[in-house]
Amino acid sequence: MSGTFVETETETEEAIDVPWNVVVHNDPINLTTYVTMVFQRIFGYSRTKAEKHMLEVHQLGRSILWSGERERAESYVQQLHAYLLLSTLEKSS
Amino acid sequence: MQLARIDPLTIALTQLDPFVCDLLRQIVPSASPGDHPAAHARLYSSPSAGAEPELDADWREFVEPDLREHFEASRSLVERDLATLQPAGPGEEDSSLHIPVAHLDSWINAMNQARLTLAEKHGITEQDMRRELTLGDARSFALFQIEFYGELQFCFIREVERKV
Repeated sequence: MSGTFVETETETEEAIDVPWNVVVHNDPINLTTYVTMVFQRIFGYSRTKAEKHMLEVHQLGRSILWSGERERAESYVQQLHAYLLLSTLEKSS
Repeated sequence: MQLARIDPLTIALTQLDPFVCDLLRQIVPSASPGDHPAAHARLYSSPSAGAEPELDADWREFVEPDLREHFEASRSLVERDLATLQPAGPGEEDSSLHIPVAHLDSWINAMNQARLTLAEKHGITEQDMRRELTLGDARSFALFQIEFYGELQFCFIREVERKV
């Protein structure tokens, strides 16, 4: 038997890397107008979509703003932290 | 206090009495977390809420310095603008302040730092934010500052988003 199967297995492992969620958590201090503005700026969302996520954060305690590859998720969380929003990234379940 | 857009690139805050001037001057000192662990943790929060220790460690090493620099830059710009705060006229008690619209993002950011830091240092809760304001002690004054900076943030956000 040749060893070609090992290489295929590694590629498969990388390809099924789970997506990461960018989560914003509720914070009673930040203004709702401010949170909406930040969502529009960072994610390019319309005001309606940004407000929907803002209300989700406010009412449910958290909202998933974006899902995808880890590097980009980290970049979004960094931008959210620069605006002082409470945000984390977590593996999508 | 009055706020007006005096030209497409500048806003003016006028009729600033000495108390309001002092509140504005308190933005930068109030934004410093000092050695208060909860205030520091709020400004530099964990990107994984502790679920990914390796990510948190990398974040502290590589991202926090950039965030610190960003926050300091915002506070510096606010300080520079406040240095131009001056009496509205000879012998007048009230002052005025002109702020370039391009600086408003920094003001909004610095006031957010101040609001979050004050809230952590004084244990301000969501219930406190809904209570009627009373003055009398340091905690009540912190709550007043949080409300005042919030009102100013709201006005500045409206100016930033306004199409001129």
